[in-house]
Amino acid sequence: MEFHIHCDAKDIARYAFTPGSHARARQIAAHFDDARLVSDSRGYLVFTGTVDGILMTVSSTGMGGPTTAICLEELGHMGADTFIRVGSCGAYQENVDCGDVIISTGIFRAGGTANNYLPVEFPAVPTFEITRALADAAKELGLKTHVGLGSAGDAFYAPRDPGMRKVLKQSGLVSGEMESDTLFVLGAVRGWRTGALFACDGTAGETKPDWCEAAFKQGQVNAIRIAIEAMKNIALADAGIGE
Amino acid sequence: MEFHIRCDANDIARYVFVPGSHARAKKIADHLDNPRLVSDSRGYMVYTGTVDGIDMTVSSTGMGGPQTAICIEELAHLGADTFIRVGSCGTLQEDVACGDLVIPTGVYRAGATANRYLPPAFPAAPTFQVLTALVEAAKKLNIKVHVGVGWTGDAFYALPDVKLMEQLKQAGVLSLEMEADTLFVISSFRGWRAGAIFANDGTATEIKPEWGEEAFRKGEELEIQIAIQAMKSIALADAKSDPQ
Repeated sequence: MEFHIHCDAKDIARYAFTPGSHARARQIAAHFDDARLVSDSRGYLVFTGTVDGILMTVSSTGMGGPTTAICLEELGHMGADTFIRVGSCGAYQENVDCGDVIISTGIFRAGGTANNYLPVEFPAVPTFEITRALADAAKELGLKTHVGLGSAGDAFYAPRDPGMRKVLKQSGLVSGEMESDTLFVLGAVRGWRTGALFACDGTAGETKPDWCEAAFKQGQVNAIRIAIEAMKNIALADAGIGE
Repeated sequence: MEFHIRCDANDIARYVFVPGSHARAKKIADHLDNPRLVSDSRGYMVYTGTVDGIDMTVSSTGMGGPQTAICIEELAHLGADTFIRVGSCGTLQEDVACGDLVIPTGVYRAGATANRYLPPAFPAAPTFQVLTALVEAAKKLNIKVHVGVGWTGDAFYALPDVKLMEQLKQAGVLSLEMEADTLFVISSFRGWRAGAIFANDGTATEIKPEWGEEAFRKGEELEIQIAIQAMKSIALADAKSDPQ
């Protein structure tokens, strides 16, 4: 039994979705066949079920690096080795609308937790195989995505450095959120496969505006569909089926 | 006329290969149709020619961040916006043999030049489109590649940080070389597209052993083929999405 996620290895699949939010964990579980709640402890809401007969788990990570790292490590202890974060994010760029889906290719490491694993010079990048599967799944489903770099930081309400934000925007960062730096760096350290995609809930000028809510919810549905299709294709490839 | 790469915009293509070595620049140029030497200045050997009618340039960058940065900045002033580094590397992993090819998905920023552009927290990562084109080209040509994270530093002969290198080995770092951090970070900063491929000339325990030379040369030829195939597919996609 793990310290914080109270369940056993038999409850956890190799293939795990790790949204930040509890509500999104539930929504992902709703796409599983025979989803069952395997843990509800310390804010980790964990469901396991199947998709086309493939065992999959979803766990909320909570917000920020510390709780995300504990979540991933304990899921890893119980046999998970392939993680897709299905998150929400804000936007740096004007061409990103509320509800747009962003697939991450690398993250500016503004968070602190991953620094306990590897120095900040280590690139927080996802596993190519997973990113590719996400991009291919989006294409297959006919859903538009942005593919590019983002930032992940620890302090949602801390004062922003406008100079740095401007430089990062000019350097093409698409998304801003709070967990992917931790996911990607831990993935490298532990030898897991990782990827992430986000539904955007803001604009370059506004943080989570009310008028964006409906578009964001649709984006969230799209992100979940893409993530599940990608995970299915990864599992099939692992089994030597398909490409 | 640029300060260091002494040629003009009409000499430089949008699509550019940037090996470190002069000799490899010449080898890449030999794969182009009608290659011509457009500059030989400050160590930048620059050739322009065509592949299937598409203009392509190759320029040696020399070794390390400072002259790589000057090289790509001046090439961009002259109109280049898509870069593939065709390099050599060492390795940390036992399963990467001499002559094996590595396509980086990101590099550890042990070099300092890129820090003048963006802080080390910024991920030194290639453009997904170029990365994908390289992986696809290797698949199409049926050439085996390793795809993963690499390390880039400034000082070939400095004493290695043994403990850190052991951590990086465990974290899956495949390649060791000296230019990709600069290329990836400046490309993000400037809005260019960039990718890289390396032929490995060592092993996890040996630096550039003589017995590895022949395998490395074969790998070098294969990485050139992959890079050219990838660049061609990028140019064709550009022509399709933006017909002029």
